[in-house]
Amino acid sequence: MKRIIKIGLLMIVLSIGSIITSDAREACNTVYFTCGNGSGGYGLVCFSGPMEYIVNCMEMQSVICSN
Amino acid sequence: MKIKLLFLSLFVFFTLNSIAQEFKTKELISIDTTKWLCTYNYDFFQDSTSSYSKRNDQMYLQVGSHLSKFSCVSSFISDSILYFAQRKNMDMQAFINLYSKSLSGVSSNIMSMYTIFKNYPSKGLMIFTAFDDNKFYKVEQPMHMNWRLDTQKDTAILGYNCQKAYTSYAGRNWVAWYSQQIPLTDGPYKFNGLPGLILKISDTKKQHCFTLNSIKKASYIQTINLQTVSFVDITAEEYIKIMKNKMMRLYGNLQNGVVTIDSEEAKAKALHGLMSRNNFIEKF
Repeated sequence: MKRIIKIGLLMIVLSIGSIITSDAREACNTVYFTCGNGSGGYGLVCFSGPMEYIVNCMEMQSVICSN
Repeated sequence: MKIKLLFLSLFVFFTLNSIAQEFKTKELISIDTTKWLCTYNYDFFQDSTSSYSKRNDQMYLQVGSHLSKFSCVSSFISDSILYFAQRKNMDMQAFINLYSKSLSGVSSNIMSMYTIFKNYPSKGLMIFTAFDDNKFYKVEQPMHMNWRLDTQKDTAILGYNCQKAYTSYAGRNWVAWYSQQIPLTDGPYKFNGLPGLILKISDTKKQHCFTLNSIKKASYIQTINLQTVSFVDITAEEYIKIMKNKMMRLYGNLQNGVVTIDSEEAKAKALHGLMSRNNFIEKF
């Protein structure tokens, strides 16, 4: 019985851990982009990690700065 | 016994949690160290039908011990910041603050937002990587190029003696100037295989031109980094289709307010720019 409880608790903990590990909740920020000529604009940047943040910012800045 | 179990549970929970956080920040790995850093001016017409569509970008070629990396200025700076942030174990907010400050005023053209790794994943192969809508793509291909050398023609670029060479690649004819004074068989974009660094290369219609701006030996340890994201394998032709879809998506973002620009004039220019980008470096 004790062993079953132990395994049960461990499974719960592992499940919580796996939820955290796979948690890729997307956050969104409104970012102001400044162009070299002083103009700029806003873009909604959504990301679930730094790499997604970077590529989305690069795209937004390129569009806003008409580059 | 219950206390023991509780401690065990907490230990497993926090261990998994810490692994998850570390995993999320390891989005770049170092695959070599820069020995030479070359910067190129990239002049190109983004619209093949308009002589007013000339654009300029700064591109970086990092040459390491056994591979090289070619990328635009935005990618080059972003890469350095992310690698630094990873090493410092920064949280997302600290990274965003640092990134915003560092990239202010720096932008690249969407048509030059790619990265090329030569002699990677193995000698003689290269990969071209790009992204669209949070997906990362990879084209893997052999590096081999057929060159015709013209040893009778020479010139000097940045004080280096250069010889001329010709090749045909991806639907265009190219003229290159290389220097044997710089013993690197590398160059901008996918170009490589000459007996010296390519200092200048242009297609014969002068639509795309790369010119060396500076070359220096690395004075500090600068890693050459690769993204650890999952790449979708595509062909060079499929990349063009993905880019065309990307322009449409960004056009939509600008129209429906996901992106807003300070002035109406700038917005009109941006919309026109997105629809007119058709002059890709590779033609099929």
